[in-house]
Amino acid sequence: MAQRYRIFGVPKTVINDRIEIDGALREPQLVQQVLGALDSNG
Amino acid sequence: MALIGTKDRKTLEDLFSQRMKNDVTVTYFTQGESKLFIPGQECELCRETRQMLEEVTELSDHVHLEVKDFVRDGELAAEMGVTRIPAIVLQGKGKGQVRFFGIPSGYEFSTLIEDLFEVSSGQTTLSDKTRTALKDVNQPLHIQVFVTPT
Repeated sequence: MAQRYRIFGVPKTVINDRIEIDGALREPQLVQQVLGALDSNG
Repeated sequence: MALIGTKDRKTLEDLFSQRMKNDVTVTYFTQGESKLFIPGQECELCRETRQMLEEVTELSDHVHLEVKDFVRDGELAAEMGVTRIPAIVLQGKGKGQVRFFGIPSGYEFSTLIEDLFEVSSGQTTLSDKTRTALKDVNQPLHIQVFVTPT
């Protein structure tokens, strides 16, 4: 898992296997990243 | 020897009685515990994780632990999206589930406890702005957070 997702430090968040974010996330940032990970239809 | 000390146990019991509103099922996937050691099939932290979950379950009548064998209960594991062990799946009042892979030790123990409370309530502490932004999401959403117990 660590190799697959290139985990070199934690925390790391991976959304829908499309977006990877290193470091802690504040709630608004997480929401932004979640919306960015979705297909444009939804 | 208990993993949760007497003083911590009392604190947790009080917290659970205040904050556990509805039942939560904790499905724990592990490997069969055998005295026979088979190289390559060991799950180093499975036994300790099970002990931790058993002690947590004793803190509240609202927490129900089901222990499953990753191999024998392979179909159920696949249904619940469990691909490695130890794996903890929390299900409660709301839709969706929380899955935790690995032992929730160190700081992650409080993550497990908070997850139990939120799953029990069927609500989260997300802001109204976040709820509004997410309410029309109609696609599957898979969020993985990698941590390390410290």
